[in-house]
Amino acid sequence: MSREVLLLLLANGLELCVGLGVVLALGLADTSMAFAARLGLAYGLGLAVTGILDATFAIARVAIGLPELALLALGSLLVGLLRRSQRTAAVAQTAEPRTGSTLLALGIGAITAGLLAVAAGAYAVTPLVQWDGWAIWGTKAQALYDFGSANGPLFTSPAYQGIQQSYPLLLPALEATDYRAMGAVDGSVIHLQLLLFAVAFAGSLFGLLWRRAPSELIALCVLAILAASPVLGQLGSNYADIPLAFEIALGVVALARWLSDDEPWLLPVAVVFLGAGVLTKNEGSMFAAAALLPLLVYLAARDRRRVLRLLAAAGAVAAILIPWRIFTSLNHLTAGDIRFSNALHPELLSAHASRVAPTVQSLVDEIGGTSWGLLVPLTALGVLAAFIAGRSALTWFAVAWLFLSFAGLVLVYWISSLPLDWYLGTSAYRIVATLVIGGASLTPLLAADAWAESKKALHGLRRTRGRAARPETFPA
Amino acid sequence: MRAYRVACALVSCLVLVTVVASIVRSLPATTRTLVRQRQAFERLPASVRAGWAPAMPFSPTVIAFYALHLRPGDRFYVQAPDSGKLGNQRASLMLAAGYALLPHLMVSRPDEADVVLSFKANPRTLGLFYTSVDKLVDGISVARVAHVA
Repeated sequence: MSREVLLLLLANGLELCVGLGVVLALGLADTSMAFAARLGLAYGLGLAVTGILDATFAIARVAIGLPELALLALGSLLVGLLRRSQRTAAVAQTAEPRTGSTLLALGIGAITAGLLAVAAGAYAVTPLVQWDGWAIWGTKAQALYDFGSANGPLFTSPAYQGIQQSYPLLLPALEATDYRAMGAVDGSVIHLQLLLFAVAFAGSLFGLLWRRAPSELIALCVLAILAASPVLGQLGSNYADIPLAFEIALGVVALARWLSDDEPWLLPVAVVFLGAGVLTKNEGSMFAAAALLPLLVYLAARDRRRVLRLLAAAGAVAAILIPWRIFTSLNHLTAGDIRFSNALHPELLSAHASRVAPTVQSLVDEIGGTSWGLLVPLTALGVLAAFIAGRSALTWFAVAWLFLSFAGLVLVYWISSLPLDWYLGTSAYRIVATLVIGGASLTPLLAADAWAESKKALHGLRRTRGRAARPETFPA
Repeated sequence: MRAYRVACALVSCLVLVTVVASIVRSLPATTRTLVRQRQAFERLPASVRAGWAPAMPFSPTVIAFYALHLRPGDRFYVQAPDSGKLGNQRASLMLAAGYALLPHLMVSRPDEADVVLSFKANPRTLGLFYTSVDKLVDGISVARVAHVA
């Protein structure tokens, strides 16, 4: 293992410590079993928190390297441990047995680890060969490393318009932190950071749904998502679409669990992941809004006492984005040709109406494409399972998020004046990733109650058969 | 109640079959692709992989020629044919040079530059004075701008 790889892993180890502090502070790791189950969530949270800080400090002329990361990790761990010691309620330290479900999940997790190991072998030797991978994200990451902040011509001058200056900085800022840790720019080793996004996603989804959905089902869904060829294929291109999809999916799952279970820790976790999403790509704001709005409508109608907490969470997500919005506004950076305010101009919408049908067709083709495996039918079955199990709120939330997100994507192509064929051809295949990955990530939660009911019925059936069989097997 | 249980069991079985089928369908192909990706790049020396000249419609020799003529702190201007269409030669070269020549910075006006990098163009047409003009071949040159104090 090269020195650069070790230093990159050290930086990520410190990010894990940052997340551990958050997990401890939220009271999510009070038993050894919970600690083990939430270690992946800790890493995901650490990566998201560090990414948010990296991106925000980059516009405040503060560069984060190994010493700053170490301080951050230390501070987070101290706060986490302090909060943990303040919780006076005795935590039951009962031994939690390893059930068949856990063992099965561990077996599936081993296959996932094998897949990620194969990916690590490929990523570690792959140069930055994909166009946007070097032209947009690679250029920004190297510039943040070279100049220490985003306050320079590269991020503001018209000469660099081509690098999409209005895209937020989470991914390149994290990569710049890795370069600082390595002491050099390495366009090949940096791919391991992208792979670590996949590790964080897998661990975080498991940690979010642990004890709420069957472990084996979570593990199977994680493996199905990572095995779908566009996921690791696109992730290794240094495009931000898959990191965005991971962050938004985790935020949406946390929101869905909060809606279903009303556990207080879920809302801050959702804020962190959605906040990381909105700082990764511009469409992150659209996906986050598509999750928060229907939830707000639902709670306003059904459970008003939770509306304020949700509004506070939505405000926190918006607050994470505000510094970047101020930066883009001060420097007159626009999202090129796409302005959501165009959606309020009926004459433009009418003039562009011919773009809608081909856009819908293209997006549906991409979502239903065979490359995603069976993730789309899986999501549909998850929604059906939640509906059958009487989880109407979860069903509503999942359908509303998927529908609004899809509608938002159609709107982007509708209001744009870029040549439609070119635009769809260069982006549709990757812009649908958040929808597909988000939907599949919701599946274990959506199917959890039907699954539990089936297991109960199966055990009941076994007991009945056992009782019926006993007299023959062991005659009195 | 019985119908509810049967429906739950049925949908759970479908979920299980679908997720397993998705894995069986995707995992071998994804693994093969990753192995091929590794085989394609692992023989390159680490230094070449780390500082890969990006895939672009220009020979790496052109970018290397430009890089050779830049001094620390030089700001450069890219002069190339610009059709105004997406992905035209100038826009592409600006992206490639902007990345490959970092930490040198690109400027949007020739009179702000220390050096003009020309591709299929003549720096004399910009109306600037130069202290030197180095050519790789006709149309590909590096011209150092004479700044008047």
